[in-house]
Amino acid sequence: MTNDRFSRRAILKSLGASAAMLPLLSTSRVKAASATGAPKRLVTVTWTNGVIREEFFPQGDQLEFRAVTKPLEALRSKVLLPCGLDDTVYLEKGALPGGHFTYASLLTGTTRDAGTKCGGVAEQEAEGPSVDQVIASALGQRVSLPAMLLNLAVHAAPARIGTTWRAGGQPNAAERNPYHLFDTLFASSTLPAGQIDGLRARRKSVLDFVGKELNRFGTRLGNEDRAKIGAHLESIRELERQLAPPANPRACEAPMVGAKLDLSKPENYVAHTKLQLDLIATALRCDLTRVVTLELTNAGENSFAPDFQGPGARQTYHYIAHNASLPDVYQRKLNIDRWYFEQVAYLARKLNDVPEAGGTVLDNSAIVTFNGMADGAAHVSYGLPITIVGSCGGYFRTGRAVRFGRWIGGSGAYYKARSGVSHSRLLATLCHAMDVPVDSFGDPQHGAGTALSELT
Amino acid sequence: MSPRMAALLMPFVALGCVGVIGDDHDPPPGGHAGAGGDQELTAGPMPMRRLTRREYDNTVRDLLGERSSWGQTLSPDRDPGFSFSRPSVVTTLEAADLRGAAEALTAAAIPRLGRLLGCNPTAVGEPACARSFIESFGMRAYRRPLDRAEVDALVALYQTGRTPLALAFPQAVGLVIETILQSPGFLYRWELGPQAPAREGALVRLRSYEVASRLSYFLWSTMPDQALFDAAAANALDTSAQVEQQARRMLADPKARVSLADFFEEWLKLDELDELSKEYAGFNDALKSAMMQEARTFATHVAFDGDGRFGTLLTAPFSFVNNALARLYGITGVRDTTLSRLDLDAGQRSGMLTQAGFLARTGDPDGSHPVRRGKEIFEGFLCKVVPPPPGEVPPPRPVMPGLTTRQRFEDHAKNECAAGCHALFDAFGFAFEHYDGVGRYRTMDSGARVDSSGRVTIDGAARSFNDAPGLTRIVAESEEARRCFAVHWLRFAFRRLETEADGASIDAVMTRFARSGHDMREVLVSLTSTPSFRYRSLNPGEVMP
Repeated sequence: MTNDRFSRRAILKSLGASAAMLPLLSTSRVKAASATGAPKRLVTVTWTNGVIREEFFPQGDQLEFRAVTKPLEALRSKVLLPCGLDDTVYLEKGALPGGHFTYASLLTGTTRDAGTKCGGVAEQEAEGPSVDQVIASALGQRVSLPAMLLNLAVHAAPARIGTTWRAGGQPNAAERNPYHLFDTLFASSTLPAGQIDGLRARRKSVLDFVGKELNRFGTRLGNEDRAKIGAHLESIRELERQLAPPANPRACEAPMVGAKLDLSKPENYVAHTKLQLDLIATALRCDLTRVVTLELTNAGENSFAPDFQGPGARQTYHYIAHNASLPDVYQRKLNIDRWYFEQVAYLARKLNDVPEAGGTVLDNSAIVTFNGMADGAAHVSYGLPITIVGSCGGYFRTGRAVRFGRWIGGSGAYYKARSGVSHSRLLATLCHAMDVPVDSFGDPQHGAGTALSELT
Repeated sequence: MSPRMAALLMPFVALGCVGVIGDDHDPPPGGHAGAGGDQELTAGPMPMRRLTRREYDNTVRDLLGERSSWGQTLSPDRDPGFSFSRPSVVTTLEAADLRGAAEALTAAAIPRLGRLLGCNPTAVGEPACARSFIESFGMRAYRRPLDRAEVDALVALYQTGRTPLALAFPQAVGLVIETILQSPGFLYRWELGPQAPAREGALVRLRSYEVASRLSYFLWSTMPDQALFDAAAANALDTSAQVEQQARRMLADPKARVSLADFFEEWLKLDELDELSKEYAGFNDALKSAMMQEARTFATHVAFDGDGRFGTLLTAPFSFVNNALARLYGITGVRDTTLSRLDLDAGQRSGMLTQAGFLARTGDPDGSHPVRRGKEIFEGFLCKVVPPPPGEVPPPRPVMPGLTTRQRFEDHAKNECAAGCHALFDAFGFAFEHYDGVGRYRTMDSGARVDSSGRVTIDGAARSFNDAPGLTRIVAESEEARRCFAVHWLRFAFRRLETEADGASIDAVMTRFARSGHDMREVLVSLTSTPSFRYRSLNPGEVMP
């Protein structure tokens, strides 16, 4: 790995990304396990078009489950609401008013203009790796799993503006096909042992050859092309790592996937979401993966709303978000907001149903939800609605709401103003929660900072 | 919806546009070679790029003789910052998909290996047969001859398959195929051979095999055929006349029709139809597919069976229609589910901008969208750049009785901060107010008569029109639109934006385009003989062996 001509750092360098964008890993040992020895997991769930803020944020200082977060109330003691964090880097560097262009910054704490675009829209891309990638890479040094990192989506973002990034300018692709995901995670377990060994040996010789070819091919190319080949080579190395049999295989039953859905049909969105959640729950329970990202919508979501009910049932989600101030649309937006939290609650319950090390799998996990914007009408990217479910092995002090920033009394609700506290600091906190200590996370000039001690 | 569409309710900016587009006829700073003169040859860069999904399937078809739809399992090639498909970097997911495709294609090829081998292993011996297969198959897969070291490495891989892995001869050859299908020489288009690049001043002249590949992927979206390989082997692709002669031969091949249809499908972004839903009961997969086929069939008909003229694309009063499209166009008596040529009402339909595909793709689920349509034409057909917005623009007012779409959006444009940019392109969209969200013709909108008249600036002059046929006639005769068309072909051919260094090449194409009476076939042919096609600039950081 270190003999490759294309180390991560070299790639970043050739892409012109500052090494400062790489979170500095502290020298302390990466553990990846809770105090009880159970594995820790991180799941991020992202969707867009904001929430009805006054029904998401608690009105007082106490944890409160208003209309939007109602589905999480049954798990009250395991919920933590960090209220009022700003997407500082986007606010300071984003080319456009917030909203549909924040995805790249949500998990990376970085953003930059994606480059030339005639006849297109200014896109933002990440300038550094996302938190899932950093954690999975660090854990990958210690533990070998079939899929340390899973990047999934229901409605995938176009290639360049998803939430998960291998490095600056290098998006990770999100798998939106649950059947494909099923094959990756579970199908090889149906092959007889002898055939698996043969398959592994053959794949190993192919990957070995392809890796050498890529190295040779890359030497003469210009900087930009060499970086592309370097990224390809990293992917080949990742496949090689995945060939290693799981270090600690647990007997684990594959979930039922049922009859095949037509994933292109908007009316299958609800069932499609459930299928992805089921697969995630199983993969986590079986310890096939430790870090999962899930994009429920893409950054500019304009498909039909997932509820498919009520007046104007065929309005798009984007339209509904923009027009939530209209009385009849307001209730619909509220229903949709709640629907998304029902999905989060569904996943949380599935993990909470599985006992592990004296607690449950949920207790050893953190499900963290993000939204591309705070409010669907104003498209603002301060005061983000973020929730954390699960204490990540006791790291987070849950059952609370924590309010960041100053209350500006009289002039409006606290969540309708900038708090001045960057969400990048939450990303640093997530690293710590997963026992990947970092000094800071994100763009050092724009919002990077230390972990948020208020949450622990 | 795509963020591109999302942005229509949002302000947009277009930064970093370079080079020759726009209405400024002065040569850009630094100057490019004009017609004649002895100015230095200039050509733009040639970024390495991976085969698109379509190119992957076509190449596999020609290489293995195997119909493949494996390309469709790869991530979409859509690049939000670019007009045409362009694959992103190979992520782990992508690498696993490429492996899955290679394994399946190899498994399917092994039973028919005899046809691929080109030798009889029992007659000449297995090792000799494997080596000769590697030489010939490798050349076709990498689109250039392999050097000795490359052949030896693949032979060693074959032997690994035979002995340590204990594979039978066909399976060991299969291991080689599977590996080649995942190798950069196959997956990437730079045709980087062991030879040193041929430097000519500041430029690199493409060698015969590179020119052969460039021609075949440009005109056929696939690997070269035997005639191109033969020409490359004979160094018969060195002059612009030789290249052009090949281009003319290739345009007569049915593969060129498919590739040209791909250009129009991508230019009009019709692949996005797939993701759209509409308030129109018949808007199903069959209709979406018919819309796509209509545009593809119409474009190839005009280019290859019709007069070939650019203006015809934008003004033809006929199209290719099946029963579902006929219903949408308000024509009765069409029963067939396959498309056939039909004359339409010339007052309602005029070329591909008034066809259902473009109108549905740019329309809203429940109505027209003049701003989106206007911006599409302004940027996509005139190559004009929308200036950055001054601040946050509120969305237009929601639908309400008694307020037409145009009124809602005009209201929006009156907004102080929206007027600056919208004034430039909204009128292009108002021309299409006669078409609803799926492209049906309408005379009334929200109880009022549709007003599709307007005034736009084209080629530096103000022009008025009454409706879409009027506007499309103006666009069809516009120099800006013709140049934008040629520029899009350059982008399609090279899968990159134009640079200043392409200026001379674009000028040369425009001269030939005009001389032919704006026959679009001449754009394709003349592009292949330009410096930008036959040469490339050095890439920053490139290492010369």
